[in-house]
Amino acid sequence: MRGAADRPGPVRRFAARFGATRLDAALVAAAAAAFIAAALLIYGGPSSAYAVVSTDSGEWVYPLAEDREFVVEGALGPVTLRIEGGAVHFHAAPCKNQLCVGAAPVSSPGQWSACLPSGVFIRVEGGAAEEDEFDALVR
Amino acid sequence: MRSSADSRVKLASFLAALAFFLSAVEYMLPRPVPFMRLGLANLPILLAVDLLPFGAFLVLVIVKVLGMSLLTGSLFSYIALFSLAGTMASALVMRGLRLAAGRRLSYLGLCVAGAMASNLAQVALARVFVFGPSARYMLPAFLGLGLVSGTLLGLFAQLFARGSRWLAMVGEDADGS
Repeated sequence: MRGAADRPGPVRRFAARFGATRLDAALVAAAAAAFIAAALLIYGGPSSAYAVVSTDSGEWVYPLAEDREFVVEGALGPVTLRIEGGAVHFHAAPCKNQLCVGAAPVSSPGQWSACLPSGVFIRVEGGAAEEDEFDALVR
Repeated sequence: MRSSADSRVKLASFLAALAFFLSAVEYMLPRPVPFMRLGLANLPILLAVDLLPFGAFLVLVIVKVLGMSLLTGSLFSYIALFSLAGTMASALVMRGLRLAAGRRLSYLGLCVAGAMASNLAQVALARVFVFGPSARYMLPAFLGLGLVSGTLLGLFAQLFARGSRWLAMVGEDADGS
């Protein structure tokens, strides 16, 4: 802080050279803050993937980031789905063979699961694309 | 009266021509990423915030978008729509900020705000028309690009504005009329 009054710091000198004002600095800082916040929110944090649930009567989207249980109306009756630890699975369904309930939870974009008798289909979308996963590799 | 209206038309035409020229310059510069632009052609619009009445200002914005789209051959594609939305958002934000804050903001602040507004508008359009919800992954990159390009262009505009006798002259004319 030596000689702050008679010897302006680099920031001041820079501002004076370009004629930048305090409001300029505030605006640039706000823009930088918006950028950092957006980057943290969107690229960081837990998986931002979401489950898209399609039924005959419509389509619903649920974020996988928070655990919850929800019921959708299937062709045979209510179907219960559960989101746990960033993955979604069929918890209960009125179908005969219960294959959907036995199926593994899905969590990565592109994965899907379905209860065919109920006509309920879940697929995972968005999130950080798993770029190192591929369908096939040709050598 | 007549001569001041006359000189205003000349000024608007000159700024439009400058926007054309700078679009051409910008088109020559290599771009590492398709959307990454310095926004050189926005310089006339930035200066026009203080120089042109609102109607002429809007015309300048449209001429700049048309000029840029003609030069890049994107006039009849959705890219022109993005360009229009981005430029219009940035122009209105810069004009509005000047109205609200007056001289407490320099071209640096105006330019950064304009660049952010432009990129936000383009991400919003991309969300609606092209990529859907996953357009949000473009947002941080676009905000970062806007911050950098807005700062660079704003600093340049500030240097130019402080040194230019031409700007001082037409600025006085614009204030006087």
